Amino acid sequence: MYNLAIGGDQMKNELARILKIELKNFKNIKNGEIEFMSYKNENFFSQESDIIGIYGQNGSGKTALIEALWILKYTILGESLPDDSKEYIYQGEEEAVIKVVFGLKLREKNYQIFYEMAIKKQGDNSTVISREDLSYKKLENESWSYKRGIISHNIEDKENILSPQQNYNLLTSGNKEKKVDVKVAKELAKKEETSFIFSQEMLKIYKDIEEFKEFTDIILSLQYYTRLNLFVIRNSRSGMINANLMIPLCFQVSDSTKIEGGDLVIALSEPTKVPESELITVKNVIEHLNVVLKEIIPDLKIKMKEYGEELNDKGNKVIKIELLAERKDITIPLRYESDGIKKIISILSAMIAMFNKPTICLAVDELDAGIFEYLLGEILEIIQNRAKGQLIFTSHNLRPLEKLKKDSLIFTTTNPKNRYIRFSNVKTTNNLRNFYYRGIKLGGQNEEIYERTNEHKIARAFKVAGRVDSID
Amino acid sequence: MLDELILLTRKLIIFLVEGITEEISFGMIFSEILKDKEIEFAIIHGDITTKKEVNYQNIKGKVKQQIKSFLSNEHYKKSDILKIVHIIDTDGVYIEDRWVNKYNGNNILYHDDKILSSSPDMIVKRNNKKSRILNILTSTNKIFGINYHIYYLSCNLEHVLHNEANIESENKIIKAEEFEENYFDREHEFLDFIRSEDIAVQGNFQETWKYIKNDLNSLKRNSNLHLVFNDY
Repeated sequence: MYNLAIGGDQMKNELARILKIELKNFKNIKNGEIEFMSYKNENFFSQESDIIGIYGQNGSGKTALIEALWILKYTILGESLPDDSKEYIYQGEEEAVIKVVFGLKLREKNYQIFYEMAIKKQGDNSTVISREDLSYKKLENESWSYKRGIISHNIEDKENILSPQQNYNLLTSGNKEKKVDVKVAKELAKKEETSFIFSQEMLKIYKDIEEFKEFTDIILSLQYYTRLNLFVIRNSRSGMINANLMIPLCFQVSDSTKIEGGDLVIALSEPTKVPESELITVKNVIEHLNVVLKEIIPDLKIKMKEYGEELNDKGNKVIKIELLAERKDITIPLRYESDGIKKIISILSAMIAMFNKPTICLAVDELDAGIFEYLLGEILEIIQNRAKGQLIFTSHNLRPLEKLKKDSLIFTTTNPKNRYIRFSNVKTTNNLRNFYYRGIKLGGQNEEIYERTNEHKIARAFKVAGRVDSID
Repeated sequence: MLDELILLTRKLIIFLVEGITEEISFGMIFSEILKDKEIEFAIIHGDITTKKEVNYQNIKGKVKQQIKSFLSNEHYKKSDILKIVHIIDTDGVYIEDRWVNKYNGNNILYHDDKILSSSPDMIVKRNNKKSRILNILTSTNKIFGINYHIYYLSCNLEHVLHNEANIESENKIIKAEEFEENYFDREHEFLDFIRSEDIAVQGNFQETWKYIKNDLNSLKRNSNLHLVFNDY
């Protein structure tokens, strides 16, 4: 039930930011490119909020971006591709590609990190991470170096295990045993459908090589970043919440000695058993989010009710807890709260962390689901003006168009080869919501932003479909 | 460079109509025929020319209000609009008062040569008011700075489309849906219908209006709506 990660002190002064995401043949996107404003402005290590809101009609590729980040996160963490990952490949294509550019500040050095991964079909049902490329540019004497390779490989290639040759030589030191280790790591990555670069086996190999240390640090800090600082909230979470199965609290709390983060999953339908050692974390998270919660939903507080201890199958002490919602004098189990409130609670801790730390990126699918329009607008405005981290969200509610800077807004197009655009021709005085509505109906952008629907045909179709019903 | 190629904005035609029946009857057909444009129906919910607060002096302002609130609700700008097409029923308003006769039914009955009503005075009054207002609107070609033209269905929508001038209100929607269904996937054939000799009044815009104001013509099955589609 727990997915906790604890970060050590030494990583605290690092800064990582996502600058650019590029997708090829991923779900219904043949080509799509999203750049954060900090990238466009070459402010790679910004300490200010950087928001991207993605808008577009149903099925136009908004969620695809969030899912790509989710795959990216677990790939970098060295985990296997999900079972259904062949569904992520554009129909009729061989492989889907995710490319990301990070800004990374590490031990006083500044990097741009380029990571590219390809997911390829393997046989009928399974997939493999068929290619990876990790490279970097480094700021040297105030100018950026050329792009240099760290590790690049093709999983099928049994001759050239990895390039550049120089790094292969470094990692194997001409040593036969090491060469076998690297080869085995590659075969294992193929079999396990994991990344080769970020696999456990390779991590062990990197660690032994002093000359590779700069790259080992880069690789480890990317893992640290994705584990603790990159929050990807997919919509399937809402399903679990709405069905009252469980509430995942994505969180990050820190004190002077450590940072804890991850997903704290608490059952809604019955009391949850929490290991004694983790109870303090649960308490911290609740305390942490209550500070903001009561201001967003006046007077609402989360309470934790303890039902006493017992021993689990392994003989460890666990505490049974239940989450309650308290408003003034009324206390009810959290499961009876509205879906929107549960959704807010679920992401609030991560949002607080994103507000306060430039190195946190929170990506949320359907941020607006169940959230009152006015409140959504207020929260986003506060984040834009005051937060330090990065926020990526999809939404159907158009209020954010009136609240956010136009550069923060990306619109999906009807063209799979150019899925994401920012609007051109927007005057500063334009109300972007009105502008978007007009664009939907009347066009006027480089790409069409709406597959035209005909309200009259929709109305007729409802009527005709009803006729079919009444025949039965 | 492709980047600099901005797609032209489509232009919008607004059809200003009395009620949902017009939208059901014409919506799908017009949107298919005018596929290169965007069309919208702005529904007034009633006959603007007979509303209590409307008179021939303020009618243009009232139409302008309708347009303004429509544009604001739908997030359009004035400059998006190519033209406004106002469609009205003639209701026999141009006939001489002597053709309005008393009878003991509840509904107003429209015949080719007379109107029957339980209170002919009311009808005469209405005819005077509405015809005066229509005279203003027929000589108007801009409202709120937008091209504007008014077209007629005589003596009403159902008379033109179904050749029945006196359909009970509860059947109007059903008839409208039948009409729409009849043209599904062959929307362009509506042009043959609306241009047919039985219906289309010959001549240019002013001539068609001149015609309808004569004698009993505003009771007969007539329309100048075909003029909207001159280029199609």
